[in-house]
Amino acid sequence: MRYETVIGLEVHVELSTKSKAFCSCKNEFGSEVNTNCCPVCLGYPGALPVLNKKVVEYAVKAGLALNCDISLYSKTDRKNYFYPDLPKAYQISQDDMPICKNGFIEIEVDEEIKKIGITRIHIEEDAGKLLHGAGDEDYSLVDFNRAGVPLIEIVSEPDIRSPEEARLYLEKLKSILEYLEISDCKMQEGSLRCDANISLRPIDEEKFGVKSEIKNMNSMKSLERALEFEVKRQTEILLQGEEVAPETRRWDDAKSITIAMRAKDKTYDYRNFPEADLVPIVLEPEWIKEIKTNLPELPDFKRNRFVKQYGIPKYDASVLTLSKDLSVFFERCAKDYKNPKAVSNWVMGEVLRILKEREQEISNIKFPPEYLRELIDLIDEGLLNSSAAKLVFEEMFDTGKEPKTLLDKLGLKQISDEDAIGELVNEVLANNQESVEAYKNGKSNALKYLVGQAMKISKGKANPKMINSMLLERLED
Amino acid sequence: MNLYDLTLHEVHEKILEKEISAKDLLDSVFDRIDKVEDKVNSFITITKEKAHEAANKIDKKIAQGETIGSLMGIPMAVKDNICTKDVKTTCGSKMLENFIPPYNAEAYERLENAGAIMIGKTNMDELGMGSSTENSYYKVTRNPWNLDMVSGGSSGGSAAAVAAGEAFYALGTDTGGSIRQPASFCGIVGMKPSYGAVSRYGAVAYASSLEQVGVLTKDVYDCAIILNYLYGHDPKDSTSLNIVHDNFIEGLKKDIKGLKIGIPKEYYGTGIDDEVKNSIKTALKAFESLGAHIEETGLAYSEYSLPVYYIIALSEASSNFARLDGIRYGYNANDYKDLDDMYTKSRSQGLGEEVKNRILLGTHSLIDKNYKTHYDKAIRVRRLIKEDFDKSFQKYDLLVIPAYPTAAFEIGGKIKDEAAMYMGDLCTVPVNVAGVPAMTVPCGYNSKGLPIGMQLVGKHMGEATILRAAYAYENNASYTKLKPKL
Amino acid sequence: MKRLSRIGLKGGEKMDKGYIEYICSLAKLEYDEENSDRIIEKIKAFDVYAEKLADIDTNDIKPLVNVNETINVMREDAVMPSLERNIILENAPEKLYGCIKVSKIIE
Repeated sequence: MRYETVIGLEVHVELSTKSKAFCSCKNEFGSEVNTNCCPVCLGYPGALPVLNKKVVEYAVKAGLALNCDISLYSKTDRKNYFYPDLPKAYQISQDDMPICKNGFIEIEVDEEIKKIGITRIHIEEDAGKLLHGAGDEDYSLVDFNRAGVPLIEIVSEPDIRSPEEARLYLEKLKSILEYLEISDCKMQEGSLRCDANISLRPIDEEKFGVKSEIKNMNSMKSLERALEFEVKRQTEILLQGEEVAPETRRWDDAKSITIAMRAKDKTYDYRNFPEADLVPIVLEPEWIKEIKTNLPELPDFKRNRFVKQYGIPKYDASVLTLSKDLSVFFERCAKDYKNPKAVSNWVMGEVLRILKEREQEISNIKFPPEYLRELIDLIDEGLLNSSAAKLVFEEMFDTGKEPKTLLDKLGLKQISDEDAIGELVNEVLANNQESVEAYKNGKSNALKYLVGQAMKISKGKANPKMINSMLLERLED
Repeated sequence: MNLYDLTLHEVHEKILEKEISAKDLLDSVFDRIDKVEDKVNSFITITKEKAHEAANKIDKKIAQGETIGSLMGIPMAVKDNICTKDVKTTCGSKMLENFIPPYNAEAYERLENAGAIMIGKTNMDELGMGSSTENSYYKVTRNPWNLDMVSGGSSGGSAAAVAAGEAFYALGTDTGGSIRQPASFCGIVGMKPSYGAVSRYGAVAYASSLEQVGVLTKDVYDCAIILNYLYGHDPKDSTSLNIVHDNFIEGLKKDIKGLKIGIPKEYYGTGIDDEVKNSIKTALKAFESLGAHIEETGLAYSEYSLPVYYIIALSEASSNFARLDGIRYGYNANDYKDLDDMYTKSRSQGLGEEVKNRILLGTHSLIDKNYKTHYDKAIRVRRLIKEDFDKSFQKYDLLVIPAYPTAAFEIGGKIKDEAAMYMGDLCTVPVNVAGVPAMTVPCGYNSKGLPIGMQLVGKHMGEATILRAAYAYENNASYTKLKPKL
Repeated sequence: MKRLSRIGLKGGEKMDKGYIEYICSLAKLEYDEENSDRIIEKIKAFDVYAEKLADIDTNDIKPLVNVNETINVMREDAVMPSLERNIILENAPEKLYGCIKVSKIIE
């Protein structure tokens, strides 16, 4: 029996507004506990919510970028349940009239484009944070800084057919949201959270199987691994003729397994009803059009443009457009430059490497893109060999200084002067008679050795190509 | 005449003439409280020190020649479900026994900024649920006209305080009659504004889409003065209206010739005391003599307002009161075994019977399988009820109905007559369902000497007409106005 | 009472103590078995209200939550001062390390 995997993803995105969704407290990650709270987001008696208009704008931006229909009329509702991190004992959300519906994202699987449907996007508020000790204290602590932070929830259709597709979907979604600049999308900080619903069914069966809800996948990798585990787990159960239990499971990254959470015997009744302290959102088509016109260039479009405009391979363009900041940096270097492929190599290579090593963001890079062009030019002109160039690059990264300056400062200017090379060659030939003899006797390796000696004497600054050709010339005499 | 017996505008005149100071008023009122509060029990908290501090400051300002606003230096009471910064706000509940809000309700703040001096927080039915102030965790407020009778509810403490001369006016809230009925029982004026006219920020929510903060006063002129301060947009309340309102004092004294008054028959059926009917009949004659036209009419959807009201009110309340869990504030049971126990014990011990019952009904109303037949249905019929009123106001300037089917009833008594109970609801709740303004105006006494009130109902934001008609009536009423013998 | 089956109590569903216990758990209120009969009566009376509304055809009537049908009330995305933490903690019955303290939660 062969089974088909069916996955749907629910993604919660914290919007990077200045203030919270329904009050004017700061929306900031990492503040000292309970310092960004007020009567409204604490659910004090008599406090009332007021909607932040930026939240609506960001939700519409997301909807447009994800090819959704934008609802001209939407409203908020209360979702009622008790939990210590939920101050009002209800979450202000959107139930039957979400702000966006019926969109899609395109992902590339095995060189083919696949559309993953997006059922809906709606606005809601985040809950506070629960802090649990590692020991056996009998208490938990609540920090309400996050309570009231604006979220959009993006629900996909169950169109995803493999853990890999799920990861590709989330990567593409994250990329699009970053380009829109409506969230910093940091999974490790919780501003992008993903839950999955996964079930299996026999191939060609139309009915959906019983699904498990998987939570606590805190990175792209753990998303894929968790779902791979689930496919295996559910397959084993089904092959034994048993039924998969409908439950919520938690991914344990350390143990690499999913564990059933406390069983929910029934679906909880949230008693959704309209939020009477807020009023409906009615949007003007003109305003939506304006937002659409002003949307930034999105990743797919930019990637295709990079291929055409800069003549770089699709793979390069994909890497360069994964992050908006990276793509902007690349373009500032490559625009109107004679050798965009070289820029691409440098950015994909040294730039990404050093950012990872130094744990820095490309937006904080000290040197301007023009300096990278200069560096490449210096190599082209033969003033820098590749190993020296790497040294200059690192220095440039750490200090932000211009390559030309660094060249002189570090004394790394490549020696390409004919006379100087000539002198070097003479010196090497004079001091390495055995190698000269060896070469003349047919040992071609001896040339390499002689080049090496020349590089050694010149402390790596000599232009190796020139050394090589001049030596050859002389040896052939 | 004692100072505490005068009206707001009368003492304001005296302050203007420098005849009396804010301190004088405070002394008079606190003297009165010393004499009668033990009998009436209007207050949960009396803020004597704070009041004297405020009076001191205001007297200084007046001495320095600052302009004296109409409310400046004049003592008032605040219903205990209206948040007052740094002053306990209990809502008549054990759950909020020690809750001290770090913020003011907008309505209170506007009055405080105008120089009003709060002397205390008044008793109420717990969290607004009740019509006799017998449901308070703290005490029962007695009617100043007869201490064996209730003062009404849920703003019973506010009404009693004003009627007893303990305050010149009081703030209250009205979800389904909670200002208008106690005002009627205590023989004073009680105003529920149009929905959205006064900010609800800081007034502890019972039913968000039905209630308003309003005021209880000694006469209509006082009411008009205070409304000028209370009305107007508050950006902290998304349901507060962004419109310019009339100056309620201008036009107050204009005549009411040609005023069209409708008498909807549904509100005068069985269950309404004969004495109440007669008082209103006499009042209507007064209106006629002033040039108004009286005509019988009907509000066909009236009987449906009760189901609509109860379903909406209890549903919204069950959600609004869910935040009362003893975690961030309020009563915490302390002795519990786990999280669920903490919630359940704190809420069950902190909240009274009536409140708990209503929360259960509201929860039942909202569960998934009931949503369509209960809440969703109610909010659709609500539209029909509102349109019913709208249509009526195309024809009439005002509707006059009883404020309540009876005068105050006995403490512990309750209305036993089903018809009277039904009429009691009917007189009060449709106004909240439709969101229109309504004012109780005293119009006589029954044979036991207890006050009777009539209710003037206007179209949305038609307060000016209500005030004008009420003022005209007040100054031409044929019955002799009495004072409670305390 | 012929339409009672339309309201809440669909075929097979009983208005019994089990239901009251369920409602109590949703509302986080203690289930008091002695009181449950009274609550059942109250719920039945309440359902009669819903019953009465069933008479009216509302198929073409739009819901009315806010009587003024106000729309689009929003505020600018600007930060205003929050409450001082010590004030927040003053009202909290149980607190620790700047946080509000609750019974241990097992996720």
